Amino acid sequence: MAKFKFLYLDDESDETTAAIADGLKINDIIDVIPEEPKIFKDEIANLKNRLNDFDGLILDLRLDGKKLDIAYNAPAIAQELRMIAAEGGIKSIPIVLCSTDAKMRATYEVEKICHEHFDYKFTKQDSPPWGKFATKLAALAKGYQFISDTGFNIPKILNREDLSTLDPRVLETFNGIENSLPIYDYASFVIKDLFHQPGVLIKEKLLAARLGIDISKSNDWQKLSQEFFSKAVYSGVFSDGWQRWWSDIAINIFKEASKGKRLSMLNAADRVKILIEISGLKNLVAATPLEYNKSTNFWTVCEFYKAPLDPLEGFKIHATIQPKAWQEDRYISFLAASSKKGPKPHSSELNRIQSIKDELSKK
Amino acid sequence: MSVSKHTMHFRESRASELELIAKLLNKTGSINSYPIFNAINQLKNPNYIPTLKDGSVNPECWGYEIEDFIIPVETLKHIKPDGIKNVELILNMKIVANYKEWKTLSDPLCDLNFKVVIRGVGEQPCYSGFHIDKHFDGEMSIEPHPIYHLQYSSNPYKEEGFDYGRTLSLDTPRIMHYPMDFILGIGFLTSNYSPSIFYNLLDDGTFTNLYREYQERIWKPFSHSLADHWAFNKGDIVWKPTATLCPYLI
Repeated sequence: MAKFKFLYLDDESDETTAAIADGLKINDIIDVIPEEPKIFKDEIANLKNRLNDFDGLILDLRLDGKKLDIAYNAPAIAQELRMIAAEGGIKSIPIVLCSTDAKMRATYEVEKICHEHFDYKFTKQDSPPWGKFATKLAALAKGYQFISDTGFNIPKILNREDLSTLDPRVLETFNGIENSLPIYDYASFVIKDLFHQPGVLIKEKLLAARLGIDISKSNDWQKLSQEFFSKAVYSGVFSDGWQRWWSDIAINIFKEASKGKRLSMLNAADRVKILIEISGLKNLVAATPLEYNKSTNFWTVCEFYKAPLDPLEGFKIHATIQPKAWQEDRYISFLAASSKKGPKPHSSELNRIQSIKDELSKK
Repeated sequence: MSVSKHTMHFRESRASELELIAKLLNKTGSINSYPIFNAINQLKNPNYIPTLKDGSVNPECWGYEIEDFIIPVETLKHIKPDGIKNVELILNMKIVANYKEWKTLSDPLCDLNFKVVIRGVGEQPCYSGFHIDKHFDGEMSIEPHPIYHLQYSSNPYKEEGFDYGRTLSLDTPRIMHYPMDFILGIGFLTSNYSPSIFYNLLDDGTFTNLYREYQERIWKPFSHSLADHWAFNKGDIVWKPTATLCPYLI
């Protein structure tokens, strides 16, 4: 199969951009052609002419660096291209943001612009995981084409026939529309609403937490998650780049196989005991709580330690982009919050954190 | 066995009321209404006919199940054991009713199972809970049961080896209660466990209208039938207003 071709605009030195382009070619699934940006008007004209030959575009956050005297940056060009694509002026392709870590620190502005215009962002860090970045970029290029090939059919895009059991608000944007929306809207919905925020789809560590399992100690985890829970594995658009499970299907698989037992009502030891019985997989070990925590009724993960957590013992985190009503909150543990590690807790949680600290200091 | 158009029409109305309560609960900002959508789907699905306790089905019956609906608990003033800072209430429920009884003064429900677990974590996860059930004449029991009753339990998940501490656990009284669907349940649970959410809902006319309607359909037949045990003249009633009897009767 032909490699996906990405155009890469960056104003850094030729050596730096070439190193990045080479890095992204690591597993030979994408081709990256680096280029210096031109002045805005010329660049737009250039892209309008040439983007049809590409499967994706990578933009450095700051195109107005020292080397060239260019008074615009990546969001401006991304926004313009999204508009032209929506009007049918160019083919719709994924747009990816990259920059050095310092420039792209999770500031409100960067979070917001990334959320609005880009499909993915990666940082130019020391020894970057090029393979992971390239896999995501290839999945994006393939996915954009796939969305269009399905005729914008949501069950086909998500590769799930029965969507009636989902919260109806999840797909409300796409219900009853006369004309299909721009491809970016579908891509953005899947990546930002389904992949990035827990709720309908969950990541591996969250699945493990809900099943009460310690992945590092469970040799049968791969078999359990991929085979026993195979029907819950997400196989829709972009699944080559993002591994996720349908939360509701996983819960139902457990319920049906255990003849009505519910994960939410069991502690980790009981969940694992039942999982061993129903799956026949022996090498599964129950997860234990983080320091300061007592409960093993895990239903979420600590966003800093990525370890199972009972939401009752966790603290909601502050989020730049507010979760939608049908999405779940994300949490950090007391261990992370008390040592100020990881994401900031939500302001409504500060009193509770303080009162636990006060109590501990009395002991 | 198929569901008549008339029954479906009725069921769709009930579904839209659950949609409304889901929306109102979302607005409170602290409740995830997703579990309600399962019930909405069941009401709208003509292939779903709720099963009665004896295993039979009747296409005139409507009903739904709600699983793991969570309300944050605010009332922690007298909580024991010490050290528990965060408590949630988990509702699991099922109701079945015959649509022909909706506007009558007969028993509004055919089946009710309204289970509440309250959970907090201190030195270990701690539980309490209660259920509101409908008792069947055919069910064997030594103790006389009011038809609708509320009963507490300190080990609601019936965990083996549960640590009862110094709590003496035995069957608690089955306290007579009015029948309760999800909408009445929201008033009952939030007023008792999350009063700020309850007051918030009471400020919204959409909620009060809906809540009043369900009190009329589900609570009123019970209270009228009970009151009918004694002959009385409406004009003789001086114990008013009813809010003094029960603040969540509106």
